Amino acid sequence: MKKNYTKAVFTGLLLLAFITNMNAQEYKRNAKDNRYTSPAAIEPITGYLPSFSPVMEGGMKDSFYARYELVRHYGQTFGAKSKNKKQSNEKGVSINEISGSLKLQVFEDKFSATEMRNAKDELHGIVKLKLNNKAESLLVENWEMESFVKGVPETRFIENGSWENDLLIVKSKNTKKKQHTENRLIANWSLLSILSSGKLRTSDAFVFDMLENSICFPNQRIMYEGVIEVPISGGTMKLDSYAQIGWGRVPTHYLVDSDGRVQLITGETVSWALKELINS
Amino acid sequence: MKIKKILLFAICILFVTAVFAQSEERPNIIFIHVDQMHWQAVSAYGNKYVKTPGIDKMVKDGYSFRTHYSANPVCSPARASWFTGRVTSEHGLAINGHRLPSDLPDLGSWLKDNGDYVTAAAGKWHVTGRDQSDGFKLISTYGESKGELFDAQTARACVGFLENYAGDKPFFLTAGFVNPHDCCYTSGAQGGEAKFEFANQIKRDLPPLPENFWSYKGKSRNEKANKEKEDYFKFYIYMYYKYMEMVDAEVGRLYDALMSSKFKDNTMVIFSSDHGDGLGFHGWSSKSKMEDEAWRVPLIIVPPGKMQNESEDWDHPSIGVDLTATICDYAKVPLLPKMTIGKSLKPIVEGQEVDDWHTYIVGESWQGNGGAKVGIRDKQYKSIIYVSGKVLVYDMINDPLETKDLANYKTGEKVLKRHKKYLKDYLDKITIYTPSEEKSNSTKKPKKTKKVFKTINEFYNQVKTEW
Repeated sequence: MKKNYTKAVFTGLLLLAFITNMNAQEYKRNAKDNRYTSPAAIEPITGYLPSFSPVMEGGMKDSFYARYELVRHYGQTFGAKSKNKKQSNEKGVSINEISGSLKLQVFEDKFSATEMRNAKDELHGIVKLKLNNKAESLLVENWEMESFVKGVPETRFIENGSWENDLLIVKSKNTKKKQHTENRLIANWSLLSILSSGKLRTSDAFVFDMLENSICFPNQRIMYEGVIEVPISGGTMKLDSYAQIGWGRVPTHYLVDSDGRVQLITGETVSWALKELINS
Repeated sequence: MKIKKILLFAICILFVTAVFAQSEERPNIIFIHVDQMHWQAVSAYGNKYVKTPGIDKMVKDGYSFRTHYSANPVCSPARASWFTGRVTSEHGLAINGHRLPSDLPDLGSWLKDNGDYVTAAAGKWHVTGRDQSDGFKLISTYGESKGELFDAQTARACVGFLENYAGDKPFFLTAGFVNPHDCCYTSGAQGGEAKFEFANQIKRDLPPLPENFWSYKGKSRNEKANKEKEDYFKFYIYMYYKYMEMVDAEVGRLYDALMSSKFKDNTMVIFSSDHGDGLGFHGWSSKSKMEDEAWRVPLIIVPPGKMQNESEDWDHPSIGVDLTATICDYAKVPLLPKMTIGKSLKPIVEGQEVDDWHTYIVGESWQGNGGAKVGIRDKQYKSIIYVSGKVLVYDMINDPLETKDLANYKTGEKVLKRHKKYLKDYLDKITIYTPSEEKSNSTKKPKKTKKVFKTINEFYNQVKTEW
């Protein structure tokens, strides 16, 4: 009897140890899986996020200056120890690198933006945009775009554009192009103010044509996807997630904090992270 | 009276000189190339799941060669063939990572030296071992292949070039776009499924799978229905088309700028891709195979002054090195040295009868799935012959999706016999590169190059002696 009792207790202890170990392993696996987040929105920047410190002051309503870093994504870690100390040793973490910047000055219904994309051979691409929206509506009225590659003067050109009665007209020194639009035309960087306002926090998709550096990307939809919790430097952060899909665009997510700051914009290999925000 | 005669004589001389000068005028040439584009990923060709208004304009204005194939369905070997005019077993850059021998001229230096062209380059090059700045003025290059990151810059740099160019000489501009190659980062080859989980939100937008999704090497796959794989590939195809549209926006920007510029009437545009992509056909993605999804590529030629008759040609099978010969022909320069296979497509574009066109074309692929192999294509049939001995034969007219392997049927046996003759004929024309000819500084990976060329030599020697 006593022998059987001892055997039962011993078996029970073994079983308990096994279950505890399983739970520990399960917990460990969950921790790696980053259970707090929606992977689709942050998948391209999982290697960057642990170093990301959100901007906690300022707002994106009316007038502001914002600086974003371009976070590029080129594959994922395979789990082996990397020579690059900045890369994660875990499997399936995005390999990210800062590879450019955006400086955006918004003054109510107009903005100016300077975007730079860094090239390894130093031939960095630079685009400067000055854009006027129609008052209040944030629909495009007219703009001037200057584009050049750093150090290569023969690449520099300026385009002027306007949008009226569903007709887009783009002119440069030697060229002129007309294009009919299908929906309201909104510039890509004007979306930050629109998202910041919270107006798109509905179940209805927001449909528009998007103007990006003088090119019209028709039939875009932005859908509100709810709140996600994102791992960042020193903890996690809850952000509203909006997803954009449409012609010529990879699924793009805008992650907006409770004060309306668009903290992160993720594409596939190109994403943007807010680094500075000043209200003027 | 005498003065009148002298004046008349002078006018005649001027007239003849003007006519002569006109005939010698060389057109500008813009070579627009993309990376990993499936030959059917164009809305103007009837694809309902992608919209490519930019490329559609070129289709409308130009001449589409619908039976065009890459010299080698892998990036660097294919590009080296474009720029040297030699097939991959000739030029020595047989697989990605090899380096082009330094003694071969490329189109950049060739057009400069022989046609007095101004040569400029933007975007992707990827002819490893060759410094592109030797033959081109680099206006916007990056040293890497990322489309979402750099394609817009490539287009804008080219538009800037068109805005600013004021020289007297003709120009040759190579515009190397990367997308839809970014599909490699979304899934598959280089790791990362990126936004695959987003597929649920766009279920209604996901395109269907190709009809031959469950067919492989001429037979049905013995796999149970695998919903996860199917869903994954639907999202992959969706994303691929997004990258396709993304690059189309930039190609369209460049083409629009050209067509509203002062160069529109004296510029020839040529559009192609280095290789295709699996795109779910035969249930796979990526490159290097000789099935049509990877080997076959788009080719559009818009001659100077445009055509505007949306011409399509299905009757003249052509190969990547024909593109080089076509550029040389339009540029009025001789073919590059030791070009053995390439023929100019210009006479076909101009509606001339061409009696000596390729009866067959041969493509080579010395890396990737299934190992080294060659593809042989005539008007109706295609054979794929692996170095390992495996052989596939397809009827491309009656079975364009390559679902039924005819190798063990009488028809297939006849085709194979004929194609083996073609391959021997092809080998009689070319001179296979031997790594021993390499100069010491021409390659960093001599062992790897030697190994691959050992395989090529052994295989081709076997063809010559035993077939």
